Amino acid sequence: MPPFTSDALVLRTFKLGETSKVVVLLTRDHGKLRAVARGARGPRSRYQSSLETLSEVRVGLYGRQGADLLRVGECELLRSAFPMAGRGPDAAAALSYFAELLDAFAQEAQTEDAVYRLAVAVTRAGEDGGACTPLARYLEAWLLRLHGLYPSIDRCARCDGALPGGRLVYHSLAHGFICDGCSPASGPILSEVTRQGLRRLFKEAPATFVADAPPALESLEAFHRALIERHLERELRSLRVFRELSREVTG
Amino acid sequence: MQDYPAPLAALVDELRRLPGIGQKTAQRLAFHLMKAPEAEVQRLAQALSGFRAALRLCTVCNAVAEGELCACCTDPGRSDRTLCVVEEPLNLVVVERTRDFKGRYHVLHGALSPLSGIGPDELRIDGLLERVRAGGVEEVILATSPTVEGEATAVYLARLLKPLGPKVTRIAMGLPVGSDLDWADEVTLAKALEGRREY
Ligand SMILES: [Zn+2]
Ligand SMILES: [Zn+2]
Repeated sequence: MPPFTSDALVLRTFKLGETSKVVVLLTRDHGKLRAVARGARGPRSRYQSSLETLSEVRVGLYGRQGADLLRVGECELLRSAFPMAGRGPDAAAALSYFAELLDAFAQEAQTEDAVYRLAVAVTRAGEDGGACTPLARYLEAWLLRLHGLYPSIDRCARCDGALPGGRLVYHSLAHGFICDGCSPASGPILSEVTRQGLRRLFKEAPATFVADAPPALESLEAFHRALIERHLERELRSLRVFRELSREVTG
Repeated sequence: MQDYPAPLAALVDELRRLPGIGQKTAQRLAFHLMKAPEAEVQRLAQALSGFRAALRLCTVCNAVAEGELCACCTDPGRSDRTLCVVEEPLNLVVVERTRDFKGRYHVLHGALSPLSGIGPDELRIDGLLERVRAGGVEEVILATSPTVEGEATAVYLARLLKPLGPKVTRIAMGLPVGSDLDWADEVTLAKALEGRREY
């Protein structure tokens, strides 16, 4: 691969050797990539704060054809999520959770422009002070939807008829919400208020959505978790700590 | 690895597990040990097998200690009024090297790290709160790393500690000595400005 430059979000870093890091990047142009940042943990690292979680960077990448690890060259910090960590432990844990979610859904070297734009918009909304819990529900819902995993909130998953107004009844074998004629369903049930909240979620930008977050989003937490875990076939490690710290902060 | 005799392969395998050591370094170390004088290898083997049994964690500050208490906790020349909170025992050694700090320490044994599943319950926070509640501590210095995780840990601790009365401070983050101001990124510079002091 010839050297190239791309905008990217830093999803994660691992220590490598005594002074380097392996960086997992969500790039705008090449999807998820792994690269070595030499000397990134050294006393005079030229990367400074740019490789912290969810930093938005413009990065130069080099590597041989077929190498699974590229090399990070210059790395310009476009926008840092670091100040968000100082806002509180819940916000810092949200950063980790958002990064883990994006990492889990992104495929190596597969460009997903919509996912990249979603990731940047959600991160920026968080940096600008947006409430973390509704922002998490927003990111989960959109990631699921962009990967074709969010059930329709308008059509029955069994008979494809229009769903009646009011609450949403989920049927796990049908992988979706079903109408009265197709019940009984296994659940869970999402209230009408939650359904209206979902409608707003899929219409609005993240900053607008969390600025005036709709009520009754709590039931989405377990619902999304079940959808995510069924898709990934594992649970996300950071979710437990994020939930604990959010509860501790909001009381 | 089948190219090596089994004992050598086993040694390389164990060495590779150590942080910062890859396959090549492990091989180099193993071959070095093979050529080294027998006495030298014996000393290393003894140090390895003995050190775990001889060491434990200080019951007050969780630093590495030879007995019940560590050297810092038993030093009568140090002040109980200031506590410096660090993530790892090694961090304590590094702060000590400055010879500038004459208070006592508290070692958390980690930082809040959601990605590694490390929440508040996995850190040694209760002991810290107990020490502050017992009275006499006037300042707690949060010397966690200048990373997202270190920052999260610091804001978390600050919220718990402040209501207990002491002044809570965070070590300054910013420009490394000897670096060039022109190359500092916005976060590093913002932190340096935030941590400025008066002459
Ligand atoms: Zn139906
Ligand atoms: Zn001690």
